[in-house]
Amino acid sequence: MGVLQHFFEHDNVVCTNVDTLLNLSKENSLWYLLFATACCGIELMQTGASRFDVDRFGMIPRSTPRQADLMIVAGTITHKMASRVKRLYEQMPEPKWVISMGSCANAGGPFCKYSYSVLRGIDKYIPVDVYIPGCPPRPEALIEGVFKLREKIHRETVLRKEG
Amino acid sequence: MPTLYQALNSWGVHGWPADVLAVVVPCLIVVVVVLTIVGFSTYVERKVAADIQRRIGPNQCNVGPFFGEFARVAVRNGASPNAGFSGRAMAAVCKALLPLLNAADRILSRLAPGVLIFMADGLKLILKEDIIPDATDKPLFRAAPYVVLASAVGALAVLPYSDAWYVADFNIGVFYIAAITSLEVLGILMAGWASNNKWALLGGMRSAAQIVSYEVPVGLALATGILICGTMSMQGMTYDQLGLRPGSTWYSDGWLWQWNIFHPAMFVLAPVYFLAALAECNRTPFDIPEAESELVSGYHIEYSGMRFAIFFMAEYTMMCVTSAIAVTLFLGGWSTGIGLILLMMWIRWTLPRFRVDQMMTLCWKKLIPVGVACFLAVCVWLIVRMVCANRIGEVALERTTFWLRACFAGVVLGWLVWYFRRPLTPAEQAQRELIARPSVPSGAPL
Repeated sequence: MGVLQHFFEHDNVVCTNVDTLLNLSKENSLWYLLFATACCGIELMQTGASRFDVDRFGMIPRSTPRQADLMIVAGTITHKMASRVKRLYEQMPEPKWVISMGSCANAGGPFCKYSYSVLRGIDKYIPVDVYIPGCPPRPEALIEGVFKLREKIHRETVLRKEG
Repeated sequence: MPTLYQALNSWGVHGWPADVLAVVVPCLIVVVVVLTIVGFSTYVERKVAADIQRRIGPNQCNVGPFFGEFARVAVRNGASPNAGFSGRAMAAVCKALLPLLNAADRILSRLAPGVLIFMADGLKLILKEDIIPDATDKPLFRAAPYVVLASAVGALAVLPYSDAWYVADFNIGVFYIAAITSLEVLGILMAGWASNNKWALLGGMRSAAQIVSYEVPVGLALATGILICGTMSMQGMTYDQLGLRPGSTWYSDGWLWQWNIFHPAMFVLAPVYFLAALAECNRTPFDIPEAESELVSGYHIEYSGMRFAIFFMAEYTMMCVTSAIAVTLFLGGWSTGIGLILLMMWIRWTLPRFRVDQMMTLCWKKLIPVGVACFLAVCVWLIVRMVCANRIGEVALERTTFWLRACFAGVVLGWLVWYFRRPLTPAEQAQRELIARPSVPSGAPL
C-alpha cells in the first residue's frame, strides 16, 4: 500500500474510486461461516433457505473459516465455547466481520443474571460489527442486520491517505 | 484455412516473433475465453441451484448497482474541488459511460439478474488474506492449486472449438487429454498432504482413490471411441462423425446418425463416460473428497482467498473440459454445442452423495465390466467388418452399416419421443401438479 499512497498523495479521488469498487465486491459476496449454537441457529438456517434466501445478496454458507468473510454468532456462548469461537474467528482471513445475533450473543440473554456458565456477550472475546436484538431474531431482522453491515463495509477504505 | 503462423507470415511477420506470437496468442485467447465462461458458469450454477430449491438466487448484483454505482461515485468525486487530473479524467470517462451502463443494466437485469456476482466473488477472493498456516509444507501448499489448474487448463489446448478454431491438433489428442487431466490428482494429493490437516488429508486420499479408479472407465470409453473413429486426434474424431472425409457420400455426410452415440457400443458407453467424468470432476453425487458433513470441506479446507479461487476455477474448467470431450466423443464434436454442464449442475443439486463403498462398487463392479464388454464387442465388430469387406466389398458394407446405424438411431429417437409423450400415471400427474404449484402463495407477506 505504501507505494500507492505515495503515488496518489495529491489525488485521493482515485483512491476513493478504487475503494468503491473493492467495497462493492466485498459487500456483494459476504460468505458466512456455518456456525450456530442455539435456537438462533434455526433462524439462521431458514434465512439461508428458500423463503428468505440470502443468496439473493450473494451470501453463501462456507463450512471452513478459511473461506468465510462473515461470522454470524447465532446463539448462547458458554465460557467453554468462547475460546473455540475466538479460535474460529482467528482462523478467518482478513477482511472479516462479525454479526452478533440474538440476545444471548449480545449480552447473555435470559442467562444474564444467574447462569454460572454463559458468557455475557460475545463482544468480550471478539470484535462485533452489528448486534441484532431478539430472542431469537426473525430472519427479516438478520437480513436487516446484514444490510447494516453492508452499509458499514461501503464506508471502509483500503487505501488510507496519511495525514 | 491458413494457420496463424501462415497468416503472420503473409502480414510480413517472420522469424522468431512469428513463432512466439503463433504460440502465445491462441493460448491466451483460449484461456481468457474459457476462464470467463468458467466464471459465468459459477453464476449459472447458483441460479440452477436456486431454481431447483425454489429460491430466487443471486439477483442484487447487477450492472447498475455494481459498475453503475462505481461510475456514479467516480463522477461525484471528479466534481470535487480537490480532484487532480486523473480523478477528473476518470470522471469524464465514467460520465460518458453512464448511459451505456444504464442501458446494459436495464437489459441484463431482466435477462440475467445478479450476473456480476462472479466478478464480486473473484475480486473479493483476490483481496482476501492469503493464509499459509505454520504447520504446512509451504512449497507444496503454495504449488498445489497451480498444479490442479494447470492440468485442467492444459486440456484446453487440444479441444476442437470449430474446424478453424483450435490451438493444436495432435495426432495423440485423446491420449494427451487422458494423461494431463489425471495430473489433477497429483495437485489434490499435494494440497491434502501439505495442509497438515487430518480432514484435508482424508479428502486428498479419497480423491486419489476416486480419480484413479474412475480413470479406468474413462479410458475404456476413450479407447472404444478411438477404435470406432480410427484416430486419436480430436479434430479427426469430429470429422469422422461429420463424414467430412474425402470420398464421403450422401449417406455418410454429417447426419445425426453418424454421431458416435448412435453406435450401439458407444450408446452404452456414453452414460458410463458421463458418470466417470462426474466422478473425475469431484461433483455430486461423487463429491466424497469435499463432503462437508464429514470432512468440513475436504482437500481445500486450509486454503483461503486467491488459492481457493484457483481450486474453484479448476473444478469448473474441468467440467468444461469433460463436457467438451463427451461432446467430441459422442455427440458429433463442434457441430453441436450441447450444454452437458447444465446436466452436471442439475445432477449436483438433485442427488445426495454416495458412500465411499457405494462409489467404489459402482466403478469396479458396474462401470468397468460394462466398459470392457463394449470395448471387446467393438473389437469383434471391427474384425467382422474387415472379413465382410473382403466378401461383399467396401461400398456395400458402407451402405449396410449406414442402414444399421440409421435404424438404431431411429429406434432411440422414437423411444425418446414416446417417453416424453407417454400417458402419465396418476402418481406422476400428482407430482407434476406439486411441482407446478408456487412455493410462496402470491400476496403472502414475505
